[in-house]
Amino acid sequence: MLTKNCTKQFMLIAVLSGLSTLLKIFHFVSFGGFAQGAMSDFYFYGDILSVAAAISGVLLVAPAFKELYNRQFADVEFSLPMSASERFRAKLLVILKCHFIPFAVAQSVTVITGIIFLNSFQMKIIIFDVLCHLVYMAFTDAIALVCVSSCGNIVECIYTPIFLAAASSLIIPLSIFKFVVLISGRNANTMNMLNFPVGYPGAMMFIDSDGTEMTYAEFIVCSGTSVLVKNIIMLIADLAVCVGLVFLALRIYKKRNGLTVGKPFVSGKFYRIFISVVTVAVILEFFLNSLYIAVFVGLLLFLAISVSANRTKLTMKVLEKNMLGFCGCLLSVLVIGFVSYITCGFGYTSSPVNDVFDSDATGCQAELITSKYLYRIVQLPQKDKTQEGLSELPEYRFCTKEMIDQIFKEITSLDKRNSSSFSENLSNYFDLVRYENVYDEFFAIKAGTVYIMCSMEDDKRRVNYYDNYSVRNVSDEDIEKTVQRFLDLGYEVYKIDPTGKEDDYLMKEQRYMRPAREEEIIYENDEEEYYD
Amino acid sequence: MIEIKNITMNFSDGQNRNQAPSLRSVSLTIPEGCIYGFLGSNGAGKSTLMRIMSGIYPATSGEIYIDGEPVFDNPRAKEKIFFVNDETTQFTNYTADELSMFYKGAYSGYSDEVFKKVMTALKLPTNKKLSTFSKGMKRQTIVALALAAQTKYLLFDEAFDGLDPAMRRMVKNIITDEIFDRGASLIVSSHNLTEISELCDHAMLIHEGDLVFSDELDNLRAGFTKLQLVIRDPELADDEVLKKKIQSLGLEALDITTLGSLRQIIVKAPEEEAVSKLKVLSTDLAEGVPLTLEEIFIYELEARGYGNADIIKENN
Repeated sequence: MLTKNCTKQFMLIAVLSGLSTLLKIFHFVSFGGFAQGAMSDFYFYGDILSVAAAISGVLLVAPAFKELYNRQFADVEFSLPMSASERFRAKLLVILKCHFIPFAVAQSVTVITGIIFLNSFQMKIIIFDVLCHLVYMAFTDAIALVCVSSCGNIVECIYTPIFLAAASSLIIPLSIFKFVVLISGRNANTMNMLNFPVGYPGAMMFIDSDGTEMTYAEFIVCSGTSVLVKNIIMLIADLAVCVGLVFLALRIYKKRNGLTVGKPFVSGKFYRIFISVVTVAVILEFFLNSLYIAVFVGLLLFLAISVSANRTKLTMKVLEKNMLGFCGCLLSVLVIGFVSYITCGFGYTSSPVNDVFDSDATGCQAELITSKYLYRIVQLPQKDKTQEGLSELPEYRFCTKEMIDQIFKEITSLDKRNSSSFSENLSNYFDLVRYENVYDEFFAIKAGTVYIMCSMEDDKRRVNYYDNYSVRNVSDEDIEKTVQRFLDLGYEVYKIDPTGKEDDYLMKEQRYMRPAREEEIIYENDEEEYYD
Repeated sequence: MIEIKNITMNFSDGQNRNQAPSLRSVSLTIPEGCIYGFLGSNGAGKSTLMRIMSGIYPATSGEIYIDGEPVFDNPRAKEKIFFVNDETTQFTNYTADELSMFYKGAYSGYSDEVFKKVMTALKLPTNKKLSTFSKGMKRQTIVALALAAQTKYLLFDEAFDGLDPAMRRMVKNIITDEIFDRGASLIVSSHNLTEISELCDHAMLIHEGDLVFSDELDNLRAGFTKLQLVIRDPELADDEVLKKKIQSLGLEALDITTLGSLRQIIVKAPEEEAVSKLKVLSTDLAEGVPLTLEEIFIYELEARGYGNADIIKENN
């Protein structure tokens, strides 16, 4: 009877899993793995179907726990001579039968076919993919179990797992990215944060961060075994969290009875956690991009959930209380952001050079922007000498660790957040939050903001970008002084008019023949190499 | 034996604190091997009490013991109970065989033999979805499942609704045969007082969450008397004055009707006691008549201000 409640969902999962496997097998057989043409569309779509089969658990868990939102089923199931634990176990078995088994069979067939057609290196990618999909499935089911156990209405049983899974997957990477990386002005090595012990793997891919749009396969290829192991440990930790969530769901389920059937949110605690996590995740998503959009979308979602949760019982008093809740969420993001701002990402990114410098492979580009000009200091990595079109570069333009240290030191001296007063910091912080001093991702930065980019080539073939920029308002005068110091130290500085009215020129007598704009071409080439 | 001790049920949540409790300190004992009728007006709390007895709802306060064991979240106590609610929609997607399999997994004493026997007697197919059945057929199937579970106590919440009179009688016969064979108890709620009267040996009446009475049906019937008498004293012409006078004699008058010089009085007392006490009012006293269950139901509820009892009385 329980299985029959989930027949349609089982069919959907079986079809999605089967199609996914067929597409992947077709790819293996036709293209022989990733060597020819890398990821073909067949593998890609197979992957998407696999993820779809994994997250279809949202639709499966609710009907398996029908007694929690359907009064008639509540009468049948709660009167059965079974303890809450026994009922829960019975339903878990149904989920295993209808979700895990078809999913696992499909993944096993993919692996077995892979073993036949692919080499061991490619198999590493496949196995990693399978593990990721397993985490997708486990996390979906575990979150859905918690949500269904905490809700008493079918509508909430469906939308809460979707919202909560997405929000809890994003909230950790978003917090790290926004509070530690962006707010401190150090976009350092975010690629190592692709997997987190909570949520869907690869959530970082959905965050607008430069240089992190990598697939797992590329990640493994590029970063070597140690990173793979690190990610696998994260995935295993994620699975452990899923197990913890199942136990939490059991704990909540044990408290359920026929009385709570029909109530949108049975547990007040769950409602508060749910609405806070979802709202904070939405605010964080737009935080440092546009405060207005963050407030608007966050508030809209918050109110939608509040109205849905209270339905006919919604009164002005309830609405006012909810508005206070939203203000609390927004304020907490702003306060944590400010603490992160004055502590430079909680001290996490205080000395980026030591982390990013990789002997002779590190290059550096610093940009100092006044209200009128953009000054660019470019030091290229030693290895770039061998690249096509750069062989004629003068030797002295290649950088050393000492040079990068020096650039960082000079630039960091402009960032006075440690020595500024509270009100100055607050003013700067709100400028940052309102996105007034950084109004584009890369170059269109308002007066006084400093931007440094280091490019590092690792021992494979990837070029990573490390963006380190100050997020403070710095006076034109201070910028000019720093530029002068760079010139005195013998660095080349390009003076660029962002409006294009004046020609870019090298602020040194021996002006280099190639215009500064071509520096971008180097990076574009690197991008192409990366995507190849 | 089912012991219901001071059960209070309050559905009010944080936002409706002033909502009246659905059940107020209800205490009741249901002996083994009886057929117990739960009577009450709509929304009186019968179904709520049955759900608490089945372990579906936890009581706000009080406790229910099934053969000495608390019932809520206790599989051992629930093993002795089968609850059939007043709906059939939850079963429509399944065949009788599938439902039988489901209950077989839940109840250790489940009997396929009894299920097949009852389904055959009722001439119902076991391999067709219940959605293809009429309401009466669905009810019969559920009754078959309940009997097959072989539990000591069967709780039927308005379970005979939707059955035609012939089928109603047949189902009732099947149930009574089965439960008497096993010494089981049947607890049934219904608005059909004639049915309860015919089927049950015990009954209780609940109104707005309060237990009005509970006893053996014979004792109940004997506890109410209808008398007709001619009262010539002009001071007692008014019904309210007469009611007070009766109360002063140590009797509770539930209803007084005046038909010319004839007064019909319903008193809550055995016939002998009522007659002996009311003799002082009039020598023209007709013989007392015990009330039917239906009359008891109506007069008790009328005394509590429920419904338009005059209209009901006229219809009777």
